[in-house]
Amino acid sequence: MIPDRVLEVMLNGYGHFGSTSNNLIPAHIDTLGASSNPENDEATFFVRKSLAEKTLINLDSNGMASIYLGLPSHEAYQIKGHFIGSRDLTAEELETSSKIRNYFVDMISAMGLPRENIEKLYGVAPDIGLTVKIENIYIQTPGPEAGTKLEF
Amino acid sequence: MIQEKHQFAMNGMYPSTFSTCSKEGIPNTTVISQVWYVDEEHIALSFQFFSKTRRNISENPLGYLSIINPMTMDMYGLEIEFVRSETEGDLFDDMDMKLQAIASMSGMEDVFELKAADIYKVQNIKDINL
Repeated sequence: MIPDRVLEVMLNGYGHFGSTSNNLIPAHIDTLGASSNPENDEATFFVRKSLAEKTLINLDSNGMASIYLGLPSHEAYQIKGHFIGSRDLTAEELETSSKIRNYFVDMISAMGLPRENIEKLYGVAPDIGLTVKIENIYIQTPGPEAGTKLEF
Repeated sequence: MIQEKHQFAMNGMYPSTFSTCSKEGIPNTTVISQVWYVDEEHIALSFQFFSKTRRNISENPLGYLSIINPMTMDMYGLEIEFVRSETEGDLFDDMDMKLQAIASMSGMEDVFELKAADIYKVQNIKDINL
């Protein structure tokens, strides 16, 4: 099962979904929320399809995925796994995304950055879910434990 | 290649995202605190830890970097290729000083240590239309 702490960061933090082409050129896109099925170690990451063209080509080619999950506190994890498929998001998942995106808009605008510009990134709802079978999880919080593999 | 508008996204106010992959094609994605402008064809990234990113770059020099102008939230995607590491000189000293400032602000003075300034050639930059 996915460790509780990783689930907490996955469901409440920000993320970046990495992939790579067959000729070893990496790519990534921002995630805008996630849902998970901890019992079968699968997770679905919410993204905007309009920004995911290269990612989807890469995933269809070789299926390898990495997802950076982080909190503003610097706590972070790296997930490695295989792409299972893409699907539409449920109403519940869109609601989850909306809450997280609103939180980030509020947090970043409180730092003095223009709210209307932050909404270009976080104000637009995701419209596709990328589901991954999680195979490995590593601590990525800066410090002596960074790179440590979590058993699950 | 690198224009003034891109340099505004390299001021360290908003984190950047960096992806690499191993020779087997396994990707790795991480967040970095700052990208340094070197010249119109090169940028530098700080090498702080013997990380998966560093191991990947030693196997496959190609990387993908996204940067954001914090005021406009304009995002840019850079395809980059590792060129060399520098462990002394003006660039290294500048990066070291700024890194310590960032570490101090985030309470991570004991964690952040600059081992080298890694220089990358920018192969391509694209506007990401959000």
